[in-house]
Amino acid sequence: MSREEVIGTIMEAIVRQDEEALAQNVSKGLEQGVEPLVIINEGITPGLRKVGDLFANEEVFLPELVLAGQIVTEVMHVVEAKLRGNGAESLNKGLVLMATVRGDVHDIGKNLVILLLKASGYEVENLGKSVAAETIAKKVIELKPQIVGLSSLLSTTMPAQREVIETINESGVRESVKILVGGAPVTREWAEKIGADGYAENASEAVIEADRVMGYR
Amino acid sequence: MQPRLKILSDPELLKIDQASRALLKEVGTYVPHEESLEIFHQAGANVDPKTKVVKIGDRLINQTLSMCSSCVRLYDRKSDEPLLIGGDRVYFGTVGIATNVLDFKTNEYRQVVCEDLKDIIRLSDVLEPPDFILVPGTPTDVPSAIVDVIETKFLLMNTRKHFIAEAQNRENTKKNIAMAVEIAGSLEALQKKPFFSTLVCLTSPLTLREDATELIIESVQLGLPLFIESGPMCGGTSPATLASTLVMANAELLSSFVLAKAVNPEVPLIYASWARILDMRAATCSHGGPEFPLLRMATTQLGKYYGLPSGGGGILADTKSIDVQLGMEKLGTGLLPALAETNMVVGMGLFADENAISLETLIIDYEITGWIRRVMAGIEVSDATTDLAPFIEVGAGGSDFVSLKHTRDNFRKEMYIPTIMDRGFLALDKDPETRTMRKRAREYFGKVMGTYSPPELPDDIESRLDAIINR
Repeated sequence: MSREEVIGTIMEAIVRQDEEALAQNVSKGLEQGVEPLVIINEGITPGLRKVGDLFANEEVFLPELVLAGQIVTEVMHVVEAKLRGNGAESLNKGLVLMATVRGDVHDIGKNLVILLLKASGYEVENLGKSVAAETIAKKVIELKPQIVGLSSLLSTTMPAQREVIETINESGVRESVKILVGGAPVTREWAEKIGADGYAENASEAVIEADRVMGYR
Repeated sequence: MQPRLKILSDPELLKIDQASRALLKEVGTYVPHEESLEIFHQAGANVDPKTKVVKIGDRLINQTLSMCSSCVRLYDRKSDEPLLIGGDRVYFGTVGIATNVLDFKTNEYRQVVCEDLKDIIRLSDVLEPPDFILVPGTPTDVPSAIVDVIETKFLLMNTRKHFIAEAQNRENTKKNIAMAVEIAGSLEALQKKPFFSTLVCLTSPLTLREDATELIIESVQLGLPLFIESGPMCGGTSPATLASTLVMANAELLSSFVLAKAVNPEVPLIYASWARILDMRAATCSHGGPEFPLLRMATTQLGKYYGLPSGGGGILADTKSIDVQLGMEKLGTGLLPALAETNMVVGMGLFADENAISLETLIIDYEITGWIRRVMAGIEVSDATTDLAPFIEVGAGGSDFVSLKHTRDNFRKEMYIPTIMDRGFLALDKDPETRTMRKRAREYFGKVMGTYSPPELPDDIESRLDAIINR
């Protein structure tokens, strides 16, 4: 199998959410000497992106998107181990703090974003749901993340996203972190209004937006 | 348990049956057709040759009903498995007396032409449902004397599903059959597995027209199935109570069954009705109001009372545009008859009070029937569907069930996955009209027809069918 074919089968396995085929083809690629970064950048990332697109297009369903994220997260451990074995630096794209804001207990969407961020090479600290602004600000000081992701499903809890940004401002660490907001009622206009650095409409876009604010794309 | 509805009690059904029998015996049926009068006479009915009124007694009705099958097998050209019409099975079909089409491209009404008929038959062929196709449009660019046989030609050439043909007289009935024989290979092959049946529309009040009786006789002699419909309008062509309308719709059907069974006791018959109301404000018949599904559930129950396969109108709308009213009317007039187990619900694609069809409404009706089928399937309660395993896996106060294998294994079985309904979140910064059902129906049309290929037939089939039409 040529290098292009191996990469193609990796993409396909992700699109089909076929855990076994994904593991086999990634191992095969690594055995054949395909560079781990090539596997990630040309096979895994586009594969996951494709599943995200299919989800946005209503052709792949939520449990399947989650499964794709899970199997990619698993296989990324293998590829990263190979990267480190080659003496390269870890793939870690940065630390993201994720929270559903105070008053809001909806976290299925936020958990999906976490899964796709992890599958894309980010380290994620999940602060949970209905998290107070003060708690988030403290964690920013303590863990020094590159990104804070704030989720809100209810229009009534959207103002809590602004509170978090204000509290982080007051803590004096605003410049050290990029803040992304999301959730069903959230719009780009709202994100700009409250001084967030980025916004995404869905989980797949959230990864792209994270890459954008980090300067990866 | 699967949810089902009845609106008439057993004593009420008996009362309607008794009144229909009294009507057939006391008032009778007007049959202006000598051959049919003779058939009724031979069968034992009381025939008045002067008034041409046929009065039928209980014994003949009972005899007729005893000859009827509770299940009619409707074949198609796709497989050897017929649609079994009867019992608790519910199938959805198109219908198309309409001569107008809401043009897909211009969004304006215009007259139906042959090309429209072809398009809508092909769309009906690819969507599931429709499970069968009743002529879904009446083209206006062919001579009216042969429009029915042209329709049959288009059906034969563009679908393998079972279809219900129209025929306006004996000659055209013969031509329909001859064309079907051309496709089947022989009359015997067609008789063995008839892949089409013929629609009979009865006339109210209490009339068996000459063309209808000739159509019945011609088809029945060969044992080809009939879909017989009565369609009195409450307050117009039947008395102004829904119950009397049922009494008459039932009597009309029973008299036509007597004629058909007198000619051929073996012929498969389907008991169908479009009994409806005359709207007293608009002076037109209405198919979208609450009376329509009430009457449909009731005629279905009457069919079942006699152990007959049932059918009738449903998924209909009076509205003249693809709007909120359309959704309301079509769901109401589709869901209720389906829950009453009307075996053949016909109406997909039709709207504007029977006057128009469109490709978009057919796709919308495809979605509506899918929604209805999911309701009909009910909620499965079993050890498997109440298993503790997923609860244990997530635990009290756990995260969510989305990522469970149990979810992946079950969601498609348990949940209806819509094709064109919009369920996305409210995008406040976007045009709320971007994902309307109608727009999504148009997009789906392109998607579904993009890969469609019509039935494969011999190259010379069209000329052979045309030769029959032009005889």
